[in-house]
Amino acid sequence: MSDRVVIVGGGHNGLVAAALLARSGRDVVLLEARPELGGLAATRELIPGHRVDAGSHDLGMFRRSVMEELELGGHGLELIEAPAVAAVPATADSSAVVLWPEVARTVEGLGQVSRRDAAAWPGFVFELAERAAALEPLLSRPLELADMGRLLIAPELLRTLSSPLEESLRERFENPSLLAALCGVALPATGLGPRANGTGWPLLFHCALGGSDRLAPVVRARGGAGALASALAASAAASGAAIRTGAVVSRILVDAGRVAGVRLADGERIEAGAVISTATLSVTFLDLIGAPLLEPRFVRRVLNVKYRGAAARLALSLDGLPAFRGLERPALTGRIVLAEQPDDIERAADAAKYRRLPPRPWIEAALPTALDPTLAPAGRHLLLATVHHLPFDLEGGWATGGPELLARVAAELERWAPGIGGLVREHAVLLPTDYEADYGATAGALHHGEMNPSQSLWLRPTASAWAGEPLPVDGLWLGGAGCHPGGGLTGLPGMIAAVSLLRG
Amino acid sequence: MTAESTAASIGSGTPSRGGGRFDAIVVGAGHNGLVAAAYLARAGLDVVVLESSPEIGGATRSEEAFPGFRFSVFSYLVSLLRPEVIHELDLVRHGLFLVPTASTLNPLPGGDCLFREADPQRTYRHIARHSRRDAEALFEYKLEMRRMGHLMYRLQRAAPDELAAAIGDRVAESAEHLDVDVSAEVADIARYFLDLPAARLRSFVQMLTMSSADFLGQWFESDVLKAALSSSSIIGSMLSPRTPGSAYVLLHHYMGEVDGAYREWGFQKGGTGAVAATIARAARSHGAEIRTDSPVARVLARDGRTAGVALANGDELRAGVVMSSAAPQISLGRLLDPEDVPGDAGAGLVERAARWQSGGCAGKVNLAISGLPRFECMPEPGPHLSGGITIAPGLDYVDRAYDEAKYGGFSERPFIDMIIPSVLDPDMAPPGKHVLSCFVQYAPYELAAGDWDDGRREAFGDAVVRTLAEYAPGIEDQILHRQVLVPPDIEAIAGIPGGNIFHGELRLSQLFLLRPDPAAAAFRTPLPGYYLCGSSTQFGGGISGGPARLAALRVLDDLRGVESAAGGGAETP
Repeated sequence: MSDRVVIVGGGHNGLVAAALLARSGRDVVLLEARPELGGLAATRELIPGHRVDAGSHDLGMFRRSVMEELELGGHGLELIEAPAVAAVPATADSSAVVLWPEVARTVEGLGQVSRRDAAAWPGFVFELAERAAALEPLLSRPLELADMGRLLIAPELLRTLSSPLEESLRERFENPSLLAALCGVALPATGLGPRANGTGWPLLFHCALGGSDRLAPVVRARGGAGALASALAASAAASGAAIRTGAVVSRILVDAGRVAGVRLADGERIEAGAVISTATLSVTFLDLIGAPLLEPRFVRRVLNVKYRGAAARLALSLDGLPAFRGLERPALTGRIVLAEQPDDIERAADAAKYRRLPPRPWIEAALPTALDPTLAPAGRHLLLATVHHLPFDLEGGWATGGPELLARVAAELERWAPGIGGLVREHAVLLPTDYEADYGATAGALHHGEMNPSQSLWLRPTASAWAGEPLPVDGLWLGGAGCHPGGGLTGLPGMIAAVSLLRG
Repeated sequence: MTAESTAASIGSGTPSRGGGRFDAIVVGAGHNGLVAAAYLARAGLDVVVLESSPEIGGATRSEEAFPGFRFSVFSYLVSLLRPEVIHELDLVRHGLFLVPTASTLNPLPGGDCLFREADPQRTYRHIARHSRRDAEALFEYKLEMRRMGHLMYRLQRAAPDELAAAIGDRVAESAEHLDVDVSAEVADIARYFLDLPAARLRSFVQMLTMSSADFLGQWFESDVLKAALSSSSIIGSMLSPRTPGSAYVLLHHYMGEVDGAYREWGFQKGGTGAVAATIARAARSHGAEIRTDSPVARVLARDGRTAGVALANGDELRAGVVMSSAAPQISLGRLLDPEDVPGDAGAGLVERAARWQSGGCAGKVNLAISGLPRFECMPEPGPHLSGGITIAPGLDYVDRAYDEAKYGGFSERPFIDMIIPSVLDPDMAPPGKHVLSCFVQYAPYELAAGDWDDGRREAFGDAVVRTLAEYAPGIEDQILHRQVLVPPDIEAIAGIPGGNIFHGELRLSQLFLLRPDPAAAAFRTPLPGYYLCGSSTQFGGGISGGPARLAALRVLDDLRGVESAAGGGAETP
């Protein structure tokens, strides 16, 4: 049997696994289908001369100890922490709100819109940090049965994560923009509106991994998220890993219940004693291994994974910084949440239930050039507008739905930043169907499976087991976002896969 | 120990009827308050039940709303009533008489339907018309639900603090935080739970967190069947089948049985008010006294212990034990003065009670009709009229009804779960005439546009009749009288804040150690001698009597503890 480890997928999780394993002396071959590395964290020239992040671009949750161990700084990674966490601009009917990492600064700003909310903010941050800290140890290792027991008997933590987010927030806060800002931080790519049970969980998740003393800070890599992939690849290569792009894996080869290697689309066969798949569960088991080799019961479990929470991204090259009302330049560096109130998000989630476009999409916007001007040619700014809570199986299809969505997004942007239309020079679009076709994100779900409590923690598969049962193929390990602890640029699923494999 | 020694142990001396001194006072004469009183009285305590309204029954009451027509005002069916309550209180002797309702009809648009009967072969054929695969899967699904129901039922037999301690003990370090003695029975339950096969445990945790549409989607493909089965997942809850957490409500309704027949639903002869009357008779037979028109203003304390209650009229009744069957906003937020609680255990109680979610979402439309309704799918009288009839023709339909209520409107095309009690019990209506009991969702407690005035109440009633007429044409002309009740009515009449029939949403954030408060999840409140026993405690809502039984047993345990600490001598039987 070969000692080689083949890693399927060169997203950040695959690269983390490759680098960690190579560093431990393993013979590692990483195979990425696309020409560039990074997967959903890749940076592409979608607009000529611009470095556009295709998916995640916030490194705030990426495990710092992994960065250090892999010496990513030495391999070219430079982090920039945004001064702002999140901001909601003002509209004719609502006030602007900015959340900063510094509690006092946030309180000062909130004092302008609600004394009550300003007074409640420090207690909220403290309590959230406390609960996030209790959760954090559960996110960086495979969970055991005992962990479920521990959670069930920790009343306040359980209450926070299982409650509707909006309801918990309303116990303290009243200002609609503030509520929208917090929902906008928590709910991207979840598929759930803020009135749904269990939406407390994604906010806790963000805070637990974002450094629990601060509220989910925004951290970017200079040059775009792809710089993280480049640094990881350089680190892995320096330890001897072989990294191949343009290598499309068509099959994970199984021999007598054990992986034997992989076969590429061009027919090449690569022997391996172990395979780490960072593809979605659906792709890994149904496409690469194939249902006929698996128990029907297991196949059904794979088919039952929910991939709701599709997103679309519009990238705009602008002639200057857009004028979001009530926001100064430092406030434009974090997440810009374009929703007046939590119900704007709820209504988008409603529309998705019925396979419709949101009448008024809520948008998670970012202006990466406000932090890193090198991403666009001189004088230009880049705006990334991500629309969440979209149905993948849109009624009528995306061929007609795409242009309609763009028109609605343009109208929304104009409402939030009057005059922005006149600044637009070029644009590029990624629709849910593109995310599936280009990145293998089943049903366009950026997190490889909806991040709600029924698909999280103990219920999300981990490197070698799913709900306490070992995976059905020996030598197969899972290391993608579909695994515990889930999606986002954390590096944790890849790390857990590498650590588990090394332990045997 | 003997009943007499239990009574003696709390030092009240001889019982003194009407003298204002009792061994125990129970606040509220709904079914749970009555069950608690019956258990305490059965153990020999001198017990009085204080009910604020003129009638007993709480949300289970029945009334002759129109001459000759009797209705169960709010609740309508019985399934969750615990067999041990029935047997230990000998309820059948006191008048419990449950008529099984064996079928469920889901009328569909265009004269189609889904009919599930008691006979599994016939049900198979009905479902196979919509999906053969689903008809096959139904057996497997029912088996799984039965297993899950039994598991949950087992967990509900233990007070949550003991259960948590036992689980904590098994999963190590956290055990020392919980200073609770665990009985062998509870240790067994914890062991059973933790030793379940991984797949089953996973299924259980999913049920606590998933939506019922997703859960049912694991077995079924047909929208019609999923919608029909999901009805039990939204009853009484501000949830849609697609809202995470609705799978638990589904499970909650799979813990029932009638006369040992699992998952049966029954109609109590005379209406659910007769269940309360039955329990009241049982309680009285053991010597309990029940006073109506006796609103309690607060719980009295002396030296850090419960001393009795003060009534709204200023009278004071003395007792070392007070049990409240009311929701936490009343029990913890209003009746209890946190200053009376020893140490700092009272801190935050009132604030936490205020955040308790018990906003109602359901209305009740009771119709007196001149003849049997003729459903387009089954126009002639038949067995379908003696079962449940549910208007839930698809998941989207129910979700749209929910969405309207989410933003503060009532559903213009509502979900309706109805029975025709007079088919099962002819005494409910004059000969040839009938009563139709419609449980309707969604009707939010608070409307976005104004109050529930008579105009909006009637508009809601009209929406119900209009919806019924889509499936049973002509029914609008059969209606003789109509009673429309919405959550504020449930609040006013049954005394449940918000009008939620379960005294608080049944969801993970309000279950187990969180029901209704981390400091009072074990029936004991932080004020020694003051207990909770209503639907807002372990076991949750429904006509189960489960919470009150567990609470009463804990009171009796505690009294024995007091006695043995005082060297009372008598050993436990």
